[in-house]
Amino acid sequence: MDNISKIKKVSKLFNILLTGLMVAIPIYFISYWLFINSFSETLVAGSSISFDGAGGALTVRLQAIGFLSSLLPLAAIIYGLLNTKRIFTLYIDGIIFSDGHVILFKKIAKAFAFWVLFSVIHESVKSVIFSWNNTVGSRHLNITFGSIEFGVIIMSVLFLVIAWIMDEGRTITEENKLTV
Amino acid sequence: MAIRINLDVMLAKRKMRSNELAKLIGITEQNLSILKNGKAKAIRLTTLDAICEHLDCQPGDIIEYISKT
Repeated sequence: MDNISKIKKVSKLFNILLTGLMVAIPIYFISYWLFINSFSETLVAGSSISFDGAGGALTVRLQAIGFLSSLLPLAAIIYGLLNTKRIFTLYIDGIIFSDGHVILFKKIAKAFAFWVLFSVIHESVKSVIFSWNNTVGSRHLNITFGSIEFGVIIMSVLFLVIAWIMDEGRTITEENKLTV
Repeated sequence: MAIRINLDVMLAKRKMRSNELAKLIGITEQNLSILKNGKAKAIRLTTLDAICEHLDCQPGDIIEYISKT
């Protein structure tokens, strides 16, 4: 099997995997907000949000608000996955190095950056939702920018640098092609 | 670009066909076409040397600078 065939084979596998993720992740988000009252408090809120015991099940309205706010990071994830899938589609078509790849890498970097922004918003909304049933004075709004967000920002910058290097490489390849 | 390639003019003067020259200088017809149509980004000195040798001309007969002003 030659190199191109190997790339095509692996890309097909990843394409299927990414399609699966694009279906599974929204299902997870929907299930999370739909069955949130069935989960234990620590599982739902993690350790960042405290309950004072006065709370109870989330109302359908709070669940809906939570779900709507989760659509923001979900959109960023789907956008990132969609563009990653497009990169693998290019590989399947035998296109290994093109300006299309550069554009897609930049879009993935953008998806990472959007995810960080939307994730901070979503987590903040979540903190309000989860503490909504607390007694007055115990409700709170947590705005967190943790190591995960920082790591994703670094990833975003790395993808931008890779896209830039790929673009430069593409220019050099094009110049070599047009050298007689 | 301000550089004009006059290869087609020289080929006509020498009554030589592109494919013939491509064979003589050892490059593909496709590459010679890139050069002839002014799409080339760079030309190797060895290629220029071979073209001048087979067309019996000077580099200036093939490459011309056109001032923008």
